[in-house]
Amino acid sequence: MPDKQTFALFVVRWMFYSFLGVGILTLNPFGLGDVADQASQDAFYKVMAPLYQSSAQKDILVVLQNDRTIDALHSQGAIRANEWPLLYQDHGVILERLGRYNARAVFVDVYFKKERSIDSSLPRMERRLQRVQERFKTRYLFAGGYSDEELTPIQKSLDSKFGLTVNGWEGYEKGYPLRDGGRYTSAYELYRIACLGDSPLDSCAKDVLDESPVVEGTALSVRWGSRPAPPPFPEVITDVCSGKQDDIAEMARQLFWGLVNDFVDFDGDQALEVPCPYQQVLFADDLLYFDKMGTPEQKERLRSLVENKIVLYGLHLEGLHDIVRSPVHGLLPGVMLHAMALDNLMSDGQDVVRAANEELDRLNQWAWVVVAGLISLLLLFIDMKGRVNNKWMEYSRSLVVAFGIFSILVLAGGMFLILRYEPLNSIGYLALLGIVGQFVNSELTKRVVIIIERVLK
Amino acid sequence: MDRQNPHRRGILFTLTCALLLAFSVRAESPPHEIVGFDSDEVEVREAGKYRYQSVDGLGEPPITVLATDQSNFLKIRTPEGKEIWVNQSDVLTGDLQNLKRNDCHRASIAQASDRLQYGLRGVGESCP
Repeated sequence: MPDKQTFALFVVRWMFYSFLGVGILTLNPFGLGDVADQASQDAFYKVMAPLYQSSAQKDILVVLQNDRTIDALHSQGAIRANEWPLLYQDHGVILERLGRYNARAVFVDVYFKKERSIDSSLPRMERRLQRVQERFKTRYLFAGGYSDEELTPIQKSLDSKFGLTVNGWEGYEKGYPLRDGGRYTSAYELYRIACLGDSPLDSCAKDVLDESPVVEGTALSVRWGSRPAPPPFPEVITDVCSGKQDDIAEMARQLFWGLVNDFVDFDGDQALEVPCPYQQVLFADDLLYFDKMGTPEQKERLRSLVENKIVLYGLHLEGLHDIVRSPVHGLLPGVMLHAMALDNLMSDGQDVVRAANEELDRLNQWAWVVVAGLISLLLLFIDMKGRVNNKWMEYSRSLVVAFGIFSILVLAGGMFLILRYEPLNSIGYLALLGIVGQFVNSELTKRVVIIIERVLK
Repeated sequence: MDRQNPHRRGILFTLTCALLLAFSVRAESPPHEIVGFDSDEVEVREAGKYRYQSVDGLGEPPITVLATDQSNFLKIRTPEGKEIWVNQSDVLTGDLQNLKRNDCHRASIAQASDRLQYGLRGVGESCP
């Protein structure tokens, strides 16, 4: 049993380490905590990305417009514009095609805020899509901006005829909110269509995330997969994205280069980033090309790509800055964030990984108190053993660091795998562990021991 | 008399050239035609109003295109003799049949995370 002095030292250590850690985590000096948190999450998701595989990948399709598609569509005579911005009628031509192939829903990730005075084709776009909606039952949803913005006439028109979703928010840091300002965001609206209706898609998780727990502020932590979907028309799009991947080798590659890339003289970040997105991607001009001029087999493949799927229509244009940073891929078109969030929802359902919130912050702080307590307990044990065998004191610092790392890994694993919260701020915790390690057997500790002896006498 | 004949010959020569030129231009740019429809209905414009019409009433392809306009519409004559404008987006024209697919796409869409651009979008890019 420990004597009074040793026990008092244990209590003092525990309180000191706890206050130190909670103080640093709470104060977040110079935003270092946030940076460490982001880096921890990025590192975790990078290494785990090869293991992310979902059957929802085949039920989500991203249709992209870029400079080349616009050029090609214009050459095909399919659209009037040869450059961005497209006319409303031009968008209508592409979107209608998706409806005719019986897409379950099409989300238009283009923000129509004000009807352009130089383009009178908005009513024709609306009429074209309404006809398709009536005949083929495809649901169209448009990007509606922020939840609290005042809707303009064009937005009200699109909302009444089709539907608007929230695709902009603030205050969620890294999280993707599912509900904001009383309205559902794009990914969750699409999830409702995919999984909460009368005929949910087969790829939806059995334990669905229905509307009742999705309260204001509920946000998910988007996990990115690194295994790309195979290109839909490999005979014409020949590239590195074959859809094949050796998961273990890829994990090892990410882990190794993630740890050493800055010590090696090469552009490590680019070597780490996966060039191909997780989702199935079809370029808009290919959609029309195969629809108009494809072989019967290609048209059938196009049909299977679109029919009953959730389609997201977005842009990838230089200078428009609708981009999202993926820890796995680098920069991707912004529409990919919605697609990945939807994929997470469909494959995980109720078990979707939640983003940090006040509750998690408090949990993180209590978790550190527990780690500090375990470290103090270990030091108590070492102190007792050290009186008999001095070797324990020699290795005390190494033991504390090793035990601390083990505790952090267990904690991080538990919070992610069991509680389904975003990855712990492991880098921040390791930094705290390093600080604590400096105090083990330090001059400060020796002075504290002397003070405790005097007080207890 | 000798002074007037060169003038007349000049005028005759000019008129002949103009006639030949007009004829040759017509011969070098034959009208294109609609060879297929993308769906069972197309958008049409008649007297400035837009509507949708079943392709059944437009005739059997190939259908000669009488004129084109800048709003992507093609003028045709229906079997009843009526002239209407058809949206080019909804049809397949003969000149597209040999159109090659744009091969500039790549499946690797992601860009380096340190890629930066300052300034607003201006002119678009073409395939390198």
